Amino acid sequence: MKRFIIFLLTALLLLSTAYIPAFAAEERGILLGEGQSHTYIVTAETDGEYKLSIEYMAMPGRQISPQVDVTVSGNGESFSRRIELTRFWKDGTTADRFDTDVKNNEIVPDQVEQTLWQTMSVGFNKTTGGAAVALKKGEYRVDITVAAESVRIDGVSLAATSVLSYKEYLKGVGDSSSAATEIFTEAELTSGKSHSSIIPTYDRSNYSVSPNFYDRISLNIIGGTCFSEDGQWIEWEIEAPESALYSLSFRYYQNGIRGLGVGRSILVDGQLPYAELGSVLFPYCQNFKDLTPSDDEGNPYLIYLEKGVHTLRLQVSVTHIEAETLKLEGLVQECNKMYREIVEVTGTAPDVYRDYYLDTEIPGLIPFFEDAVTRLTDIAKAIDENAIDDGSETSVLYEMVRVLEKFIKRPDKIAEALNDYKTQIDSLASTMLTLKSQPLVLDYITLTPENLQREGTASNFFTNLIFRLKLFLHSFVSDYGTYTKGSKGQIDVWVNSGDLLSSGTASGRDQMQIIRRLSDSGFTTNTGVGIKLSLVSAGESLIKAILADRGPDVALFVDETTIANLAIRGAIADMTGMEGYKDARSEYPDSAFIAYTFGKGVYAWPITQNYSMMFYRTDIFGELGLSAPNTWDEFNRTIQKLAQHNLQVGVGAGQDTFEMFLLQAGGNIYTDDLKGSGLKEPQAVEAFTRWTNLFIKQGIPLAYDFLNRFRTGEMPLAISGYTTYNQLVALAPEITGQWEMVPIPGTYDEQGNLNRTQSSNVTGAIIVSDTDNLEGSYEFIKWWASSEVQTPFGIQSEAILGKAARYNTANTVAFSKMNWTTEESHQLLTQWASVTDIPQTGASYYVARCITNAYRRAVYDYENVRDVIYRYSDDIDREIKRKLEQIQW
Amino acid sequence: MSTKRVSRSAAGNFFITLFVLMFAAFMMLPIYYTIINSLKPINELFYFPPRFYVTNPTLENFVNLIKMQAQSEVPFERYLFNSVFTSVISTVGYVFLASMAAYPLAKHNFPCKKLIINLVVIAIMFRPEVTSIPQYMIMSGLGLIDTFASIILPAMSGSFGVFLLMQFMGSIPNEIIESCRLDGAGEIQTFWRIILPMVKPAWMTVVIFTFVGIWGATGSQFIYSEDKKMLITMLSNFTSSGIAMAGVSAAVGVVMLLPPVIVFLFSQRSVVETMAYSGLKG
Amino acid sequence: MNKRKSTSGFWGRYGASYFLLGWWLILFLVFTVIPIIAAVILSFTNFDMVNMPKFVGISNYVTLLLDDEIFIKSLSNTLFYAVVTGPLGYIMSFVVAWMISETGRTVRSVLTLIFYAPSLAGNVYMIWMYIFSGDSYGILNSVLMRLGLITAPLQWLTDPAYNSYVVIIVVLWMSMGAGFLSFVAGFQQLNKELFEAGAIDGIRNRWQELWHITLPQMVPQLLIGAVLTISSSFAIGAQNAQLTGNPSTDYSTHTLLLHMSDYGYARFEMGYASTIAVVLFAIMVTTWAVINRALRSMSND
Repeated sequence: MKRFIIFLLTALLLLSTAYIPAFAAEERGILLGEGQSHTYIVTAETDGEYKLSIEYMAMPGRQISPQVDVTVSGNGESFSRRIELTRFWKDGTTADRFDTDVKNNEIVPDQVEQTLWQTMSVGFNKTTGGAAVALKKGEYRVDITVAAESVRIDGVSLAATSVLSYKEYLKGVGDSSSAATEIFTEAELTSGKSHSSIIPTYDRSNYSVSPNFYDRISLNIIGGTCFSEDGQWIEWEIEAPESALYSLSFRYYQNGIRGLGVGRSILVDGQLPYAELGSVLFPYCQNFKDLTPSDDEGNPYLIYLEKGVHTLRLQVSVTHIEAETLKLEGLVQECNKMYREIVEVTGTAPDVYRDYYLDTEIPGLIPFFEDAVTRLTDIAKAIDENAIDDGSETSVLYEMVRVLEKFIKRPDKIAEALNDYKTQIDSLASTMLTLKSQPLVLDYITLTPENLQREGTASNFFTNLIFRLKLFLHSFVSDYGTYTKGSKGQIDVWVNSGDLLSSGTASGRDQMQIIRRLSDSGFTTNTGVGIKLSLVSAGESLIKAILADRGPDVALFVDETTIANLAIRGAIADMTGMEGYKDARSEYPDSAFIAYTFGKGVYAWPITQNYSMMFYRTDIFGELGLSAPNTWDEFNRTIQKLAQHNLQVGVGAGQDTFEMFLLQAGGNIYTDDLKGSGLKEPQAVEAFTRWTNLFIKQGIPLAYDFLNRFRTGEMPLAISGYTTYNQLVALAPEITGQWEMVPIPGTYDEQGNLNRTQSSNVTGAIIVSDTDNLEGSYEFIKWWASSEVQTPFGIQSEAILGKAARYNTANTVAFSKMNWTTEESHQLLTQWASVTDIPQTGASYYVARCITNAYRRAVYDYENVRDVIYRYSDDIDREIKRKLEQIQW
Repeated sequence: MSTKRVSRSAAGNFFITLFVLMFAAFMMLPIYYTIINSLKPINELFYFPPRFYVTNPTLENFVNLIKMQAQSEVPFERYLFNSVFTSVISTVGYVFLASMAAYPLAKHNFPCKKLIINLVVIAIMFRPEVTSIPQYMIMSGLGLIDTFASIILPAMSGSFGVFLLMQFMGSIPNEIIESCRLDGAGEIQTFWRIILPMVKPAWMTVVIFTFVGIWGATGSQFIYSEDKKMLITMLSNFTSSGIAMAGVSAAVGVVMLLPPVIVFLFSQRSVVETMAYSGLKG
Repeated sequence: MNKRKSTSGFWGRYGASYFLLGWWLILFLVFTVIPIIAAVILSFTNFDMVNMPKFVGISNYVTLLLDDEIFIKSLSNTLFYAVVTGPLGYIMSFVVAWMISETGRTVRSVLTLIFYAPSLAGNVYMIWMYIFSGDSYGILNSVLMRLGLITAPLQWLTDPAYNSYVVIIVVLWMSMGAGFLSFVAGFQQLNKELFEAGAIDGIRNRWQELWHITLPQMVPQLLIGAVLTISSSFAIGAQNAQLTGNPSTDYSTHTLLLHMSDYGYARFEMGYASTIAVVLFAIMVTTWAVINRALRSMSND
């Protein structure tokens, strides 16, 4: 009996241990959320060059990749860098190639994330970027802190970076079968990619792009600016029918960088086969070309594939240029800093007849310029040496050298030519931007066995001509507007083609195509209502069309004023009649509906909402011992302190700035019943005074180009629409990490709370009252407004139009899924909570111009502020009365 | 045959030439700037204030422009065709119609002639901005919205060309017409064979005026379908996309400028040849 | 005389005329005249572009002429621009056409092209915005600041003190239009023999030649030029809106045309806008009548 029990217990024990590995496998590694960190100890076996190898699994979250801050310290040294741990995305298609719409056009697939373990091997020194770091033998401590998103990490080690050379590689390969044939794969049919923004698209300009049909759209290329940043990769599945040595050939297009070409690493089955494939350069071309990576004598590099399935990965590689771009970044920063020091002495508009003795005022000036000249020349030489083609990139550098040498010789001329200096820095910065970006477009990939001859594809002029002709003729037969005809009828949707950059979203054909894709699969199949999309300007054309009864059923991205005018005249429908109105509305902030509410009805549905944030340079503020102002009083004091150093502050001279002051003081443009002007109230007068004083007393510039001034630092503080953020990120990378976006200054109210209220600007969707299909229109609005549609719309817009055009959706749920980092999101949401809006009336147009005129009278002509605002307030009252006689609201 | 003319002083010549050249430079300034911009690489386009010269001229903006249209569903050639088709039909149609209409108004007498002439002049003065709504209603009533006719027909209904040709034809001496009648030609033959060739310089003006007007008109208030849109509509989609597109939009400006310039030069040449050959006023 | 067709009866006498005229006339009536008549009718209504027009008699006219300050302002602006740019542009076109008519064929083509180019180039005048930008780095501002003539950037486009002049410059820049072309055409059509005769008769210099021989022959072109100049200079508006904003500060560059489109498309009062259009139109017709008389009398001496 005892033996039996022991046996049973042992059996149970053994059985239970069988489960432990299973548990351990699911719970592999350590889960780190945002802000969490962990420390690992790693060993460098010998002195040598190492990269950090991290095994990780990105946890599902937003679309952006997790980012970790890594610090490696030991042996008296310390290195740190921020590393992006890319996710793994796949196309979510069910068909052979891609899903198609009713007309057989291929549709861009949704991107589906695969949660799996990946290994990343990367440099960890900020100053040398992705290159390996030289370490002495010994132990090192690795601190990892997650900066964005969350990851599981299962191990960190130091990987020696010696890779085989090509010769060594060839020695170690197996036998080649002579029955091997060519392997062909279309580049758009990927098996994985690092970012959801890398999506296939189409190029119909030439018949030789494979495949291309004259009667339907096929997605035949992948890449472009969406495949250009360090760390991005695309993977393909390759099946080798026989084991053999194959050469690679890429059909590509690259029009981003001339002289240096664009760099990629080629990895087979996740490994770099040999060193020479670590940095393959794709030269500039104006038409699709073939590239076969070869050695200096023209012999193609071969890779060995055993019979079976493999993965081929192409990863963006900046090793050929990284050292130079990092140096250039540092140089641009220092040049800007020197610019600010000069400006401190001379002001931004120096007196050309005065000698400022800059070389003695700023002791480091001339030595800095001399050093800069040397550095620039070195960088330019390095670039020229590496150039595979004629390029213009270095001309900018030499130009700068010329300017600096002039300064060194004649320091008294610096003040005169200050603007030249600034423009040169701008130019240098934009060159650096160009160099960092490595865009590449791919059409197809061919692997040819060693013994076979590769047939080139020459693009024949005549076949192309015939193709274009067919395309052209087909355009007369094809119906571009109407799509799926639903069983329950059809609605006409107009997308505003007008220039909407002021509200942050440029509508256009790209967006329309995204809407079409989303609506075909999501809307028409579910509701049975077909959609006809057109791109029409929402100004006069819309009004006339509605008048003539030829208007659409629904119009998108319409501005506030047009909506107000149409609403009070009964031309558009009340949204509250929509089934499911309350639920749909819960995804939006109330502030977005204010401009559309008249009486009890809500006459449009908000799409985008734009408001302002405050931007400041943390580095400059740090140097000067300043901190970001929280109240307007602090803001004014900051202006004065900055003025002592000849630095400027930017505040818009527009109505929205006035509204900030007005709302924070508790006032409003209109009286509560919306039938009179509220501008004679003491709060309004005070707000107007404070606003105009910024320009009169504080000397804020009346007009300015924010982007450039912020970059150079001569305007280290400004209040601007939050979409400026994206422009800064995309166009001013040299100041990454040196600036912040925070909510605007506020005013303390009686309860001691900080009131950061401001107004906003929305665009909306409307339904025309005369529509035949009100039900269908309501369904469309409900579908369109939901986060299930707004999220992919925003993400795809950003993918196609770039980061600088990130979608400023009004849908709070969709907003949380956009690619903002947690920190950015937090700042924006904090401000968004305080955002409201000024109601619209039939006289809003008049208010706008009166406020502008009042502003100009006060600021240009120095008229008495109180008199001015009273006068224009009366004016507004008169106009409101006049309008009310014509139409009620 | 050379003409003897009163000569001009040399100083007069010099000043006139100088004045003309300076003035010409002033006229060309913005256009020159657009051309220069289209040749600038991206980093030079970022300069603010913008510069009036280019240090590294390149054609990449034009190449990019061509590449951009690779992504449009409606092929570029179709937009081009739409613009060329409407411009050419409008221009040719209008020149014929206006010439035909101007001749009776200039040289014949018939009831309501005075009334019509006054209408012609008056109609030139009336600004289209306010007539656009009634015009839209008429188009809509005729079912012409979203068709080429909505652009071509109004283009052929303007009265400026008629007025211009009327004036030119008015200065043709009546003796010529009389002699044609004596020779037995009918009115229509007279018109075709004699009058028309004589007013070729006026043609030139009408051709350019009409072509430029239609070529540059987006027709956006009447045309909604993508495949009927004009070239300028498609190209101007690029100009609203921000800084990065500045080079491409300058290239757009240059491209849109070319056909009118070509039409201009072409009509100049043919007119002058006819003049030299026709021996008017003998 | 050979009578091949009967020339009696209404159609016999006028048939050819109507045949030639008719095609264009129909289009003209449908697409130009009827809309004009409709607009005139609208001027007697209140029309908010969404609901049907309501007849109100002459109250719009009364309001316009007696009670509308902005109308007065835009009227004075319009007259100012018209008087400055009209004759100036007209004379400029004529003088330049005259000067280049003396040159050889190719040079003349090129120069004509250059001078006509602003009208060819559509929206290129936006470049003026860069030049006159109020930013301290705007082209004009930065040049003036460099030269030390000003210390702070001037707001050329938004300051009422300056923006009128900017508008005038740009309008003049665009004034070499179809009128200019017709002058060039007219110069080519001149009768060379009359010049010879004049030289023999004692004409001493270019000015006399111009006055006595050239101008009288060019009366048709002068009329055309006048019509166009009146039509365009009274109707200045679109450029102003682009350059100085719509509406400009304190309506400083507001013209009748802008006043009209303001009421039409911003205030949704199309009836009133039509009224303004009719008044504007009346002014133009009156001016035309006067000039027509003057030019015709000149051709008679």
